[in-house]
Amino acid sequence: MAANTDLIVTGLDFDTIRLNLRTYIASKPEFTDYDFNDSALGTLLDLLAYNTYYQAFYANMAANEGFLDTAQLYDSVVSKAKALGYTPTSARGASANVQLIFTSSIANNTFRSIRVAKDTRFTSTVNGVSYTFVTPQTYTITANSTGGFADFIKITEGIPLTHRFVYNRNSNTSFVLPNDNVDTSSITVTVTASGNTQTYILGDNILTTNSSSQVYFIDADKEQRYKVYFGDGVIGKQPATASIVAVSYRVCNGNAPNGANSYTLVGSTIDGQSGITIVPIGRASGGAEIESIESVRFNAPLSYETQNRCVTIADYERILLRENPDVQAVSVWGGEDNVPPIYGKVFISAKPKTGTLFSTTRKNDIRNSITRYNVQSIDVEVVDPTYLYIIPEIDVRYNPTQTSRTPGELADAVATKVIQFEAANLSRFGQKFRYSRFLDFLDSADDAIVSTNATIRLRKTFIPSLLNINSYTLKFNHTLQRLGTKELIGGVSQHPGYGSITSSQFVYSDFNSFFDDNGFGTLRIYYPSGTGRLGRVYTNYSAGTIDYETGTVTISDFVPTSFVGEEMSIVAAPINPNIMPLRNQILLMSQSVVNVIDDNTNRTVATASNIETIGQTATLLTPTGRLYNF
Amino acid sequence: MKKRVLPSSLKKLGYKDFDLSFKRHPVTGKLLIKKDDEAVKQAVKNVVLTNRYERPFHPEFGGDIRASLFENFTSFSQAELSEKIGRSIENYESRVQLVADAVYGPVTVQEYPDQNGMAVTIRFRNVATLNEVTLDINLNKVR
Repeated sequence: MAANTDLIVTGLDFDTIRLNLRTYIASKPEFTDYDFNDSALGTLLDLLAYNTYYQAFYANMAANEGFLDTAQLYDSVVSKAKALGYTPTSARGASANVQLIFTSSIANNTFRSIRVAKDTRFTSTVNGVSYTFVTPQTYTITANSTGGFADFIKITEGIPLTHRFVYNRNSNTSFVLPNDNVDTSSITVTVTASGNTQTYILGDNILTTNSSSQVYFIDADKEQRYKVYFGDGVIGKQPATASIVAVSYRVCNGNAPNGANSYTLVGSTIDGQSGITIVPIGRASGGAEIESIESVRFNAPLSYETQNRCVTIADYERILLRENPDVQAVSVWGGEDNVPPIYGKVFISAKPKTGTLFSTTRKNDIRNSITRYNVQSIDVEVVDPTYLYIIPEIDVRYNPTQTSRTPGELADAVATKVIQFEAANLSRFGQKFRYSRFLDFLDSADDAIVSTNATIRLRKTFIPSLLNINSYTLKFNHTLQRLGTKELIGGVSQHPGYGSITSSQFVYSDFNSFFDDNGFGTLRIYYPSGTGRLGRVYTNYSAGTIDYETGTVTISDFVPTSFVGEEMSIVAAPINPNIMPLRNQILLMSQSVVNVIDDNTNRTVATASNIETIGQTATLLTPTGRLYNF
Repeated sequence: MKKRVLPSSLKKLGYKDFDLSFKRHPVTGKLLIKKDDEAVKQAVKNVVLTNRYERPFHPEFGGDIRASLFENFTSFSQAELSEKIGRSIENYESRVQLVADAVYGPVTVQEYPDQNGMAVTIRFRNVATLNEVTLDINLNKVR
């Protein structure tokens, strides 16, 4: 028997497949021209190899689509997620609260209320594009004590549509909603049989569903569409054949309308009443795109693990992210871990995808979204994330003979590294600042850098009232340095009589003032007079206290006349340069400074400041425009 | 002249390939076979008539002269075409050596602009049999 008569089938690329086929043909005596690309046999080998390669590629891709980890097509990922009981979150329309004031309407004995019908339309323009907002339900505004009409209502972005289908138990039991960007949270379903119309509700728990439950189910269909279907008469009531199924829903524009804050009524009257003033209460928020492939891939198995109930911290995090597509990250901790401990409570802190804080309304929505999965006896509280700023002052020593960069370019390169480090290692819940990793990362900016040193300080911000005397507590949550750096005073190296606390400028007792501390737990207010630190004139020797051990700064009975910037800052130096965020704390970098020092001359040759880290550029505003407050 | 490294099958005399017409033998009913010089001629014709990017995964393969049919006929294009055909045969058909006689080069291209066509004549030697072979290829636009 000739050698190599077995066809080798292990090749996956074109050339290997062709070589294997050639080896096979070579063992046959019929043809001898297999060696030549231009021979008829060579052409045939090309064709065979191409076909084999095509089939191998197809088989490989088909196999990939069969697994959640490797599937590339949205439909395949959704199909695999379906097996885990996971329905991808649809697009969501942005919502806003507005106050409707009927300026021309006066109540009388017969006219006591105004009905704002469901789907009453408003328009708003965001980035030059007009969006439709509607009332998601009917509101009834009753006359107030003075006979006027005014109330708060919620409006949601999206265009309302209704589709009608004829139900047939044998052939037509599910209905695909033929639109992209359907907001599934807006779906309402009615079934009309023999002139009798009944409303069906979303069935999300088959354990409480029986044969007479009027429920419908939602499932993801192909091409990012959703389908509505009904029970089979065992789990959920099955409509009769020839019933008319009416599905109403909104088609929204995802996250584009977020931030809308001005609305116009479509038409001029509501319930026959004109003269309507619309006052927005905060910006529109909560709009989100349909869940992405990567998100489905990530969430589906975790959702299966949680089994749709919140028991562990991971359960809360998973369900929160699933139910609220506008949430970027969450931190959850039990009340027993809170300071002070509050038993029977779960605290949730959520960071939005856009902006830094959620509005109060949205926080209530987030709380409501979790309560039905929650264990009965546990109360849920949503709190804002708090931001702790790290201020690094970086000294980079370099050898100018080893780089073609100018000192300014080197400073910029290090500044870029600072921005990259913050984006990759900070700005999320639970992400810690590791001092040595930070320095190591900066060292990689250029081979000419011979050493890097950084002084780390921490900053907390707050907005003081200019009208009322208030106390403010700022929690750094890190042990702070008690005494400032020793200085030469009168020819003697000694502590200067104050600690590490500094502040931004404010006007107090008609002076441009600052905070400092005496190193022994007392906060003071001073204004500089003359040059140097010895020229501090104190106007308040007991402006507050500092617990250096816990890093808690308390400002007592404080009311400045004014302050510089949009918020006031207190800056302190931690003992340990490794900064760990606690609970709902998020670390950011701001006011970073890079000094480039020539290692040969010991001179500072370039400085970079105003480095555009997230902490430097982010405006700490909620979607409502409210300024972030400690 | 460039020294050629010939595949092992070249050392055997006689080539055997099937006929690209895919016709049956009138007596045996089997697929027609081309041997030796005829097999090589068929192969040379095959390489000359293959356009670039026609072979999957080997876009460089082929003489690419069909594409030239839609170019203007000039003395430059004639020379360029001869060069292109000669190069493709040298690159992809190791069983032949192009030969030139006293008057013509190994590849001559005669153009017939009025008939929208061209005639290509290729003269080569089969390195196994040492026979000199002439291959004529006529190309015409059909539309």
